[in-house]
Amino acid sequence: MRPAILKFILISAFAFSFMGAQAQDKKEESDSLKRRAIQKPTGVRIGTDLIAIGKTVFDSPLSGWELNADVDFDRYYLALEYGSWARKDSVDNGYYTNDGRYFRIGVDVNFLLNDPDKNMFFLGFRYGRSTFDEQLNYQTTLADFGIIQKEISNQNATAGWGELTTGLRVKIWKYLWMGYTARMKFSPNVKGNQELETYDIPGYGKTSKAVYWGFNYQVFWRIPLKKNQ
Amino acid sequence: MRFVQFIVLIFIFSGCLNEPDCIVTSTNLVKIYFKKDSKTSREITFTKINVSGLTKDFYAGQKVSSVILPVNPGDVESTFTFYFEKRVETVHLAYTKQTEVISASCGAFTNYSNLMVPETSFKVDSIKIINNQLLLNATSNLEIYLD
Repeated sequence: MRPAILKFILISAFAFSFMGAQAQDKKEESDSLKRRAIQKPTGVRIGTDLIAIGKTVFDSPLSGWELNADVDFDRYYLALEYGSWARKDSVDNGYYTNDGRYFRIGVDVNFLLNDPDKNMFFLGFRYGRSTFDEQLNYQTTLADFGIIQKEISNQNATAGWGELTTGLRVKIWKYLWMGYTARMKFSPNVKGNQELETYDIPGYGKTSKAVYWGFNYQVFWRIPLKKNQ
Repeated sequence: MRFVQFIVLIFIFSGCLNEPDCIVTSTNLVKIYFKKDSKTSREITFTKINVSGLTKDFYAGQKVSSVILPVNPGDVESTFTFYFEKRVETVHLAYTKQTEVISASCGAFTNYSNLMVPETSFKVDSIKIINNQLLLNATSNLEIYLD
């Protein structure tokens, strides 16, 4: 999907979500006064990202998978994500590959309070961390040395970054939930071989962008921890 | 709810940040100027100049006040040997290499930076580093002062 179309869908969805949240604003404020104490969790949602699976199946330069889980503490949700990411991409004068694992941990704040189905419009944050290998093979023409073929790699590199998140979770059927998470990823920090500047961090994306957008379309299965939830 | 509105604005406007421009300024060429003093150039007729890793002679029989010489891309050190006016002088250069992929369409390039002169047969205080990065648009990297 073209980035412009993706961005349009994302912003449109976000705007609709936001309007819904605005309508409930006054109700939330009075609710929040009554709901100071954080309650015990009522269920765990475990899911996966359908876009990551789609990219892997349809032969994108990117392949991988991602598992998502969250647990509710009243309006706050502890979110954990774990995934695998591998990129095999041609660049103008060579070929780049990486392969790694990543996790993210953070909290989402639900703005749809007192919804009997526990539907969710949320804002949140994540801290992400990745361990990966990357390799670049390229050819360059340099004065007097002619055409040079170079291979350079970065083994066991690590990276950390932050994310602001927003999205929806909607109950589809009994224990089945679907939703999306839009991510604004920022401040990537890489530790590894200084000779190769990291091009793509698994779980983050391309480091050349000051802010990198991510989008997950997710399906979840909810496991209740309390009866009648 | 003002916080929510603030977050919405951050999400929307951050989309305006684009791919990096494909402007490649990196090079493996060092620009060296020869001077009598800070304002006066010093012209030299070189017998030849040799660069480590290459068998070619540079500037053989040429009268110049500046030279452009390549550093060895396969190493983090290069030695320039200057043959002139019945003298043989060497400048040993050290540098840091960093390769980056600017974008898929732009490709990968190596940047040379942290240029240093750890060793030279010239008088130590006769060499001045003007710009420690090798860039196409740099006017000068080193100045060598000679009588």
